[in-house]
Amino acid sequence: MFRARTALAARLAMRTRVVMPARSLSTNALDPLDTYKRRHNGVSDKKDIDAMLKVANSPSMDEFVKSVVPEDLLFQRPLAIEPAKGFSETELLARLKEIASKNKVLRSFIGRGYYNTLLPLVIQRNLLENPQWYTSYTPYQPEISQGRLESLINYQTLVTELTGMDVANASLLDEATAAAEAMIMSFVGLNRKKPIYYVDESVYPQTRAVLETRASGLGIQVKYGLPEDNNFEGSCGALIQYPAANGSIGEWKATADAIHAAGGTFTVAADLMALTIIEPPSTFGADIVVGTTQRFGVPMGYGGPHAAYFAVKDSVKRKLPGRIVGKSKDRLGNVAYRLALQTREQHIRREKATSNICTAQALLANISAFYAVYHGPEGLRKIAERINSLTTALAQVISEKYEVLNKSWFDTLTVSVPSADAIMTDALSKGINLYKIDDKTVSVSLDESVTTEDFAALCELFGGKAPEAVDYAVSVPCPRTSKYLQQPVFNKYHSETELLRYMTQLQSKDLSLANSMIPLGSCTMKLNATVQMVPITWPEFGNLHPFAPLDQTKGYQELITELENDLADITGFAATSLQPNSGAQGEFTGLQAIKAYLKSKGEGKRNICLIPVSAHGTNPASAAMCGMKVVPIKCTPQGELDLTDLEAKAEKHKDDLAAIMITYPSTFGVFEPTVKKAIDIVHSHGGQVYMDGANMNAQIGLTSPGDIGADVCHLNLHKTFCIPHGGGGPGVGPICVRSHLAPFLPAHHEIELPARELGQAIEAVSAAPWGSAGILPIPWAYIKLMGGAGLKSATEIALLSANYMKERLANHYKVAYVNNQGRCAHEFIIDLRPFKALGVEAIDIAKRLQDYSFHAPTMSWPVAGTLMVEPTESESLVELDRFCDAMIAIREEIKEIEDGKVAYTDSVLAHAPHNQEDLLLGEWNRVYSREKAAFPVPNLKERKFWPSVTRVDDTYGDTNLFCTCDPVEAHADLD
Amino acid sequence: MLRTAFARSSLAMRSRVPMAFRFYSNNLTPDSPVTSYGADPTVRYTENHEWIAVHKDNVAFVGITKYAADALGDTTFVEVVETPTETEAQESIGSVESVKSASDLYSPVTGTVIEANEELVNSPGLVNEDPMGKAWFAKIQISNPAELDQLMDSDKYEAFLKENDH
Ligand SMILES: Cc1ncc(COP(=O)(O)O)c(C=O)c1O
Repeated sequence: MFRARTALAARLAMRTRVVMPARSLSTNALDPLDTYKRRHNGVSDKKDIDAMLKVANSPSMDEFVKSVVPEDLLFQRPLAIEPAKGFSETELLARLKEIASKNKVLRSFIGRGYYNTLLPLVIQRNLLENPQWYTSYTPYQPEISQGRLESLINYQTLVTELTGMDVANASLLDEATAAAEAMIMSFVGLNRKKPIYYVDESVYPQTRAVLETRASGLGIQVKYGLPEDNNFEGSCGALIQYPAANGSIGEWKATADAIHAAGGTFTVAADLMALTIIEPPSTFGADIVVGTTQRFGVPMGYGGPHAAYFAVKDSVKRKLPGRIVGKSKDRLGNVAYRLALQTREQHIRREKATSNICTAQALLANISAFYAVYHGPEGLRKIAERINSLTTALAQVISEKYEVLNKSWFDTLTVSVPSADAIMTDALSKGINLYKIDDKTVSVSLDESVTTEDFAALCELFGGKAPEAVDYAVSVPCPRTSKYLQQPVFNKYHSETELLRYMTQLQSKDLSLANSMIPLGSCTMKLNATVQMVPITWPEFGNLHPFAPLDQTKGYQELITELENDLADITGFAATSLQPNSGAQGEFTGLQAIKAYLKSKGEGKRNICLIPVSAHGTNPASAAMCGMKVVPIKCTPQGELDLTDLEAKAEKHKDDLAAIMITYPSTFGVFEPTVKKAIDIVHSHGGQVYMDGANMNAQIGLTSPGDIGADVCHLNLHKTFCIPHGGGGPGVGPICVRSHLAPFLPAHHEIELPARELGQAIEAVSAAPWGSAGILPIPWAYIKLMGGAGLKSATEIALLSANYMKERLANHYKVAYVNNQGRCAHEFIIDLRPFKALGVEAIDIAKRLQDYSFHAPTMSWPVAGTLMVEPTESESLVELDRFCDAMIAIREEIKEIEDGKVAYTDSVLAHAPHNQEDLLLGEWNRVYSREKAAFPVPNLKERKFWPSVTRVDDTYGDTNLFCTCDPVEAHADLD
Repeated sequence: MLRTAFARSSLAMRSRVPMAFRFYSNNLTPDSPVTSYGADPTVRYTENHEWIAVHKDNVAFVGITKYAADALGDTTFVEVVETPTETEAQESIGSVESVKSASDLYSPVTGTVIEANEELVNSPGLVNEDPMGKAWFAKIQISNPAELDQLMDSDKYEAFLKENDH
């Protein structure tokens, strides 16, 4: 190192006693100093790394890695990522600007489920761009998540109020998949006995395509158009769009009655903005209402992410897919929110679940909720009235020359023209995008962003002249008569000052990465760097319509292609699809591709999916959604896949074996040495190998699903590749595949996707061609900032951090699973079952960690009665130690019970967590001191995060389900 | 019953009784609707932790065992079938949920469900209070008493519990 430097530099260094920094900064002064890797990795100081290696008993990083990852899996190929050394932050932003400049942001009047919206800047800056909101996890620890839980209750209330339904969930992935969930709920609700599902012509084609995909696995037959005689016998229900794709507002009461007469379920896909001025679907008999809240403040983002909503009648609330926030009470009887009725979900029901949804769209739901809080019922109505009035005025102008085909409208006009191409070209020259329906028909959709100039340009385009002024005049066939959003929360935060304070009040109740590490196993809560987040609100990325012509989105194409290639390189595969919006959706897509491939070989009857009992609940749920039969594979007591059982089951099902789904490293956090053997067994019995990539953070740069021998994997870009978890979404779950599966990646009906020309592609799995394209700059930036070597170093540090913590904690707790060299992978499981006899359970330790200002590790998954710790590479040694110290201090508290000094029921553990009210109000008569409750270790005096409520009562919440915000001002005490 | 769908919840609210102090008496509750229907019913158990108490007239009561109720934790929801319903052995005739778990109740035998315990729907907590008495799920007119031979008696069930140490 010293020799390699130039003589001059060496002399300078000596003369001025400059000590070269231990960090790997360049020796060339021309190189930038704002490099990223050392900001991303929490540990990059050689001194720290050496100290950690020492604790882990390893002489060097290389030796350490070899003791963690089976040697025959370690690959030698460097990643092909360019630039190899990674960009500096400045270089990255310059490159992104260059890419962004290739996107042309025209005025979009395309509509079709995606609209321009004016995201209030106070919400953009203080929520969308605020790490306190975007870095938190799904609110599984309600005591430190009351802020976003309250906001999600506001979201659910917004949905139930506008749709008129009783219960809404806290978001789904997009409108199309929400419609698919409705279809499946209709089908399963009638015991799968009536396979026909009618989809009206009013429904957007992108929704129809996804319905088709999701119907195929379950044997549902999708029929387009409603039955002529309104006879729905033999069907489980129907879906209509309200207002329709062509803009008209239909009369649906008779249809609803006919569907009900045949015992079916009537689902309405409705535009929430329209519902502020037209009658809600509840008034004409809807059983389920679905849609998107995109136009409530969420940028189009070239297709996503946006929150879809799903609302039902009270009678079927237990069948609702996705997460529901409900009201309960805490130990002191105060109102506390929590995730309710989790027994509906895949993590409990597994292959019996009717939906595989896990990660949803919490952040986007919260944006929409705040949009409604900001505008209130009057404001929302005014926005909708303006849109409708302008649409009516435009219809008058257009009608002078052309025929407007729809006779009623909210915001969309379908216009008959001599030549669609001619008018589209003319529009382009004015910087406008319309939607071409066919050669002689176009449509135009207005939204809240329309300006006087836009309106004039549109009038001119259709050969007319804009009037000087347009009166507010609602013209819809069924004006809304009922009131909505009368709850206080929607009526008191309309000044920016008040709104800002409300947002701040809520965020201060939530523990996020801005407060402390969130060591959730299997969730990879790593740094979501500011430099990666900055571009997503640039208009060149945020304001593009997903169906904009490809020649206007060349920047996106370039970024997407680079990202697809990099992900393929990282996973060792040939091709990537970025369409799936979550890991679970990636699983569904991958399995569908496998099915399509097997069918193409004449092996369509293969339908057995082997799944280890240790798998994540989404795995069996996804397989079941594809119509596969799940056969569980045992694990050995050491936590490894039981190869004998695998061999036996593979042999037994060899004629029907479709696939195995494995997670690697395993969900127990260990690199199983036998993985190749397992893969060989499945391949030799005719099955394909699906790898769940949730744990890719342990593989990148060291090995890969492709190199190990799998055929397809999904990635959770919201885990491994820095997309923030958003408090429960967004996510992106691309799949990467070996070349034989590439032709079967999903297509899209609006946009021709490259490499799908073989006609074998499966139908779309998401509404938008590239799913949540708007956040793809984040993983792209992460990869480009780290470069190949940097990515590898992140993996190494992640493995080292986990093993360091494991070593420290193994002296105090039982660590459940390690490999034959005593190593865990990037996460490890602490077994707390030995304390059960004392009365102490995993939940007590999880809640007690809150008193130490930490978020608990993953609780009771994949093994009940345990905690799974995943530090990621982004935590400093100080933070790793702080967490270990907290766990060790808690172990001492358990010991007090063990030693008989305190009874469990009196203990600080049983009462955890403690909020301020608990400590300050009333008489103090516990056996422990207030100080011990709140400041058990000294550093908390400097840095304390207070849970805002005490332990939340789950049973009360599930037996007294209440999922909307209070109609009255004061929270009456429960009980 | 608890086998297939036992909780993988990451939010499991612990039941308040510490494991060590639990006492499993998987016997019928004396003086309950189940025992007062007739004298000396024959009691059998399934590997899914259902119990069935068969009376002389081949009317049987079915529910979940004390062991299962304790493992489930606080019951929040119960679903029973409409009656009468024909059922085969292993067909679902109800379901039970707690905060952390959801399970189907499978009929141990073939027959007709002649009555379902509607009271459970309104008071799911009965499942924890008195699982082998007031909290019966279904009354079944059984059509093939020979099927009972496939099931475990009380000793076998206790041995099964020990062996599996769930
Ligand atoms: C192992 C594993 N598989 C699949 C998933 C599902 O991913 P997503 O939540 O993105 O749908 C998760 C998410 O927690 C996981 O941990």
